[in-house]
Amino acid sequence: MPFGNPNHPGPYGNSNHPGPHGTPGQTGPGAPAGQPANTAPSGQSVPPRPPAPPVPPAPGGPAGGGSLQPVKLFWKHPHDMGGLSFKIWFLTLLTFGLYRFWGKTEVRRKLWNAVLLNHQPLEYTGTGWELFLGFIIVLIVVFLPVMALFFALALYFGPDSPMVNIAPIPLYVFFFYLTGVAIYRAMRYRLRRTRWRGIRGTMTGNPWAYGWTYFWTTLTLPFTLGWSYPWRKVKLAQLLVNDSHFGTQPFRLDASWKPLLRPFAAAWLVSAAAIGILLLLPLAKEASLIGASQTKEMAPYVILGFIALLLASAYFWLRFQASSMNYLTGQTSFGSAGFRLDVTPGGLFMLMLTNLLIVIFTVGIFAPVTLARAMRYVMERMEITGAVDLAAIAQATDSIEGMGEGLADAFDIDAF
Amino acid sequence: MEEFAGTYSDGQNALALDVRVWLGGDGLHISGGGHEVIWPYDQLVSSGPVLARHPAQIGCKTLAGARLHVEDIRFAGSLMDHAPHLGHRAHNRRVLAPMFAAVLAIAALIAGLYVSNISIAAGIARLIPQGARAKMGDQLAKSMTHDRFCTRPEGVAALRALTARLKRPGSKDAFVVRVGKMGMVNAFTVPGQRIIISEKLLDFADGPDELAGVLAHEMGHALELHPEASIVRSFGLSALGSLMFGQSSNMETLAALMLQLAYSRQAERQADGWALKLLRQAHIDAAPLATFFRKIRKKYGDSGRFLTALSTHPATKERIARIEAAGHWVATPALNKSQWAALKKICD
Repeated sequence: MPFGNPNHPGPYGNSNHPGPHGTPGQTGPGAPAGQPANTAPSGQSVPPRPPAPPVPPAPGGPAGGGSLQPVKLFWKHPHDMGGLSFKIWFLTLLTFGLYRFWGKTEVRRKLWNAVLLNHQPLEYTGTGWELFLGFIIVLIVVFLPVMALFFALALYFGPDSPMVNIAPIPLYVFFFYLTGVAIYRAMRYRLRRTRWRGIRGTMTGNPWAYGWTYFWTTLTLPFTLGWSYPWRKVKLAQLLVNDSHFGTQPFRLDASWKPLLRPFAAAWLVSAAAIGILLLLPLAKEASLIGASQTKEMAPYVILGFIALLLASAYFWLRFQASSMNYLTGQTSFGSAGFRLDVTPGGLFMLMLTNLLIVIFTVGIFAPVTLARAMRYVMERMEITGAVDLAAIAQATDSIEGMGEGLADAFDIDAF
Repeated sequence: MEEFAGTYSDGQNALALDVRVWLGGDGLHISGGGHEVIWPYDQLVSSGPVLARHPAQIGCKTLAGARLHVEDIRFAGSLMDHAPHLGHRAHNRRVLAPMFAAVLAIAALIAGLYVSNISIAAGIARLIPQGARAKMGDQLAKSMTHDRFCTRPEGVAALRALTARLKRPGSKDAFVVRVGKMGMVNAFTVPGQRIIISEKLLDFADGPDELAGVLAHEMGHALELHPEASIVRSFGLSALGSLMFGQSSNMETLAALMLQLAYSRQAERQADGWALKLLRQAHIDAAPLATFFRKIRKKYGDSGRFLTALSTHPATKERIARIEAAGHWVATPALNKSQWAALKKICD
């Protein structure tokens, strides 16, 4: 019985039964949706994994030392994203917007499938129902009470009363805190529903802890005039990456903010110059440092100079973006394997420009197309270096939450 | 029997085993590494539909995490013959049909609540404390009239006398009736038993009994908590809207919506019922109310678009007939001549 006989309960038991297998009660990837609530028998005390069933010898040799294998990353661009975009747009219209959750799922399934690792695609196992359920829960727990509060305030104090603006401030602060929580939860949801060779990802940390760090590091930005940004970016990325696992194997991000400081400083100074000139020009005129006739003569040069500065600051920000993406990816490791990314400011600029044009000319309908293009741009420039001990990666054992990323949806945070 | 090359992972670790796969009568045969296993067709699962002429990745219901990947694009087509439940059509049926059913169910629920007279909103409205209702009502009245009320003391006294006469004896009702400077023939009730009569309506009314009838009708709305229920309802509707389209709508739209919400025919009938009851116990003739409706109908038509609240009162023959059929009772004028004259001049 090498693979476990599906007709025989065996050590695997039934997948809906809290058997002694690694993922208790986990919903089968293609099981009928709408019953995601059958998640875990409360997750605690997962019994130790039984001795693994006889695994047939892998092509790479006996499990253990010899299973180190290189992993090749390949992007196989999904077919007909435009048609899918139209279909989703039409069905969303037809269902008063409800289809968007299922549409999102369809898009992700296609995008995940386009990522091939050693010729085998990633698999997205999330369902539209999960996203829908997550949204409903956030609607009931967060949004309805808040709407009711605002409504009551406006009715009680009158729409013009300052109380209407003052009273909800603590609420805004709390929402801001929730933003970080939502980011973490959305990423965890996606990782837990990403499989390769049947092994899924997960995140092991606490979303609320991340939310808190997100909150207070954001507060440092105004006090440092933005200069804490590179440090914050690295810190937040480290929290997310170091909590991430594929199966039992963790990812690791060893990074410092120092290498990001130079590209950041360049971008900051050029933007500061652009803003400074914009602010100083009217002042200079007012102080009649520049005469009226001079103003007329100089106008075209000033405008050209200003546009040049604006373009320059856009370039330097993209350069900062590209170098931080490349740096953070390069510093990430997975066991004995590493990653390499090589995106360029020019490439990012062209990608953003073309995606913007696509969105504009299709009134947003082709948003899934732009997602696929963005993902292709990154994936085609990414490489996995070194080798991975595939035999050492066992299935993740935590329970999977039954609902989707309602919080992220509600706050309009969406990476994919 | 055609064989396909595939890779098998057992879901326990990330290794893959090269296997040969063929479609047997009893299930999918997978063999490799000197072993063979059969996945029965009805146990096969996939996270998305298996598409013909595409590589296929499938799992088995009872083996969490195990995956079979077949690169050969002819495989998916052959598999469909044995396991049609993995295909596109079955996937849509399983996943999308319930969603469309949910959309229809929500639509049916709304339609059902609308048609039947079960009002969830009224039940919730009853839970709002009187103090909050009064505050809400005052704010709404203020914003609807731009805070322009008629306050000549003699007129106010007359209106207060009329209100006191119509009030249910011994009740705790705390009606606050005011005349507002609004450019339309209108009377409306806001939460907290606040009633506003427009200056124009006061001009339009011939005699105190007509005004008394309108006032009694509005009191009926207040006693039935119709304004409160309509606020709750519009709040619920906008919540439903945000459910459908995401994000919340802003409050101003909501308030505007509330003002335009029509009372149902049922609500109007209830208010008419109260009007007759209050007029009878106050010994005021009801016939002038019918006359007033007739005048309105003549001026604006049945489907009058002329105002926000009264226009929703379908001044139909049916309602007029009901008032006239209520019979007559011993009645005295609602206000004496000097009171009525004072009330008419309340805005001067």
